[in-house]
Amino acid sequence: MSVNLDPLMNLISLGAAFAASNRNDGGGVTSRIHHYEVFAHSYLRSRSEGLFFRPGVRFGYEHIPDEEAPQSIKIREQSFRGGLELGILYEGFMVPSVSLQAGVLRRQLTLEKGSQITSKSTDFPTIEWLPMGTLNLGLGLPIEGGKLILEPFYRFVWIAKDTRQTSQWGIDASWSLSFEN
Amino acid sequence: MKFNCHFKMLLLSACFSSTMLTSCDGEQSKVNKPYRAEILKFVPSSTTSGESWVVAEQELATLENLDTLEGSFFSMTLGGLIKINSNIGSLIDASSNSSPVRANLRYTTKNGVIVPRDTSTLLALSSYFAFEQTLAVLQESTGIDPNELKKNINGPYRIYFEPSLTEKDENESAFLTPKLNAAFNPESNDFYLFRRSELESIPFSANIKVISHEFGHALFKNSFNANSAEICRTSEEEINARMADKFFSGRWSNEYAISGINEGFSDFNSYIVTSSTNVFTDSLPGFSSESRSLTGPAFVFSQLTNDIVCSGRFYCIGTLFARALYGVAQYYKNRSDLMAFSRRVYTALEKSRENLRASPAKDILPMPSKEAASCIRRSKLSLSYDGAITSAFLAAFLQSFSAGEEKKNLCENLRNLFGNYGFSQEARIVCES
Repeated sequence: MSVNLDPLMNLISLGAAFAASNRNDGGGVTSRIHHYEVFAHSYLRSRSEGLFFRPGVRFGYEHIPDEEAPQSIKIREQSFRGGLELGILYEGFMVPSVSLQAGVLRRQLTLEKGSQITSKSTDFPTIEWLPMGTLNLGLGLPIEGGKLILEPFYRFVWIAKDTRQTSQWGIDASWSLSFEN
Repeated sequence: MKFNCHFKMLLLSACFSSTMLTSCDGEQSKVNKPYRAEILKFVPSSTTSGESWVVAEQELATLENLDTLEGSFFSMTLGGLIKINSNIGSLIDASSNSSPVRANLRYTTKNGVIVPRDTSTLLALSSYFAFEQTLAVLQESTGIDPNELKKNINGPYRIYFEPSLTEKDENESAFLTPKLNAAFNPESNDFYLFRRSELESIPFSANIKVISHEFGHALFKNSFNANSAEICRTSEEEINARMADKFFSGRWSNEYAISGINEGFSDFNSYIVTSSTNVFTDSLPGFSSESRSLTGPAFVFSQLTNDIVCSGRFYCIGTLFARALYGVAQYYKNRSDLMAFSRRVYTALEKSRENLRASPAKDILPMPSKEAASCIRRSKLSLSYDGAITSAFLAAFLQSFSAGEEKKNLCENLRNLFGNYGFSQEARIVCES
């Protein structure tokens, strides 16, 4: 059964994603990071049979568990990201896709310290804005005739001045909303 | 057409974000030597309650290259894989079998000052600074010129910050990431600052009390071990010959009692650098470390077979030695007198090795046990065997002190703490001269 993407000129989808990544914290040891995202896609027919473009917008939040952080001192990182993306996908029994995302990551850095530490630093909290981009490889699994698509993905990640994480993996779940002309 | 439009939007967005936002992102490259950084620093005090920690701007005076963390006296590697052969307490026999990972610090600069952007960078720079602070008092506390020390080891000390380990035995190898520890490798002159942990308050890796303790091992090697790593390695054919040789090469690195003295000197060095009497309190506040404290509950050498009194194996011998030195240090109310005493301790340690080959120490020193000759490390104290070794060591150590009040006090402390088992009547002869 293939997905009927023919009327997709009039279709957008809304979705949520969960992803994980391993972050190299400076040594040979990694921390697991969780990513929670929401996104909206629209679908544009290309001139080639079965190929569609998928522009979209995506926002996300990075949760960094700090089980390993010492009790009295750490720099807490809270990151939100937003960006535009453009994918190309093939309509078939499954829906493989390749997409590029470009955006920016807003990260708030807060110095958290225990009571025995005083701080003379006025440099915290601070906010950094980091350009970022991803190359996303996905494989959509249509359910309910394509109304719902589950799309496991693997991403190569580039974040300016932050090479601690280079890839993410996770799953997109999107619901299509169609409109009459 | 629509595709082109969307693609251009995407491209514009990427260009906009990379050009406009990079400028909001601080200036990571514009920082000049001497580097100044926001780091975690210990503020010593003459009283425990007066000690504190502060995050503040400090100069990293000996750091030459911020990108690689190479410096005049210390070079730091973030990560790295270490192959462990064996360990005795925080002394490790190991080798690095992978290329060091290039420092990947995340920071911004504000008015020329490095401001860390993640916990790893903050702790790595804080560790580097703690090593520098330890080195800063070296000449005053030991009489050694830091350049001489560097020359002795053919270059700067290497610090592995949060490395991973592989441990191999005959059948299998394990990959592990130790925490809650730090170590010194006398063979390669490397320091290992293990992974931070949620159980720590002040992380070991940034705690100058821990770092100056580890540096004490480097000083012990430079003095008592005459800058030789002296690793004891097993050779079946040599065991019998070794058992007949009191001074076979590698004996001191493997003797339970000397390992204890090494730990004790390192605790004393930590006290000299930080004025703090307990290496652990700030890092592990809930951990009962009283038996390692220079001011903890009293115990004596003959009680060390009882784990309830002190469960730290040879560390307990170290605590006794450090407490004896600390007791004398209390007589010196000003810093210059205290440092002069510390120099005499270091000199005595340096001369102990030779003094062990002379009477009375040579006569007191027992022949190596079969375990010692076989490079097998005991986990239990032998009152008679280890007591004879500490007696011989203490006789050799005290021989370098001039007669006077200081020597008298030191002898008195050692007598009280080591008793007849650990500081025998024969050894005490040196107190009379």
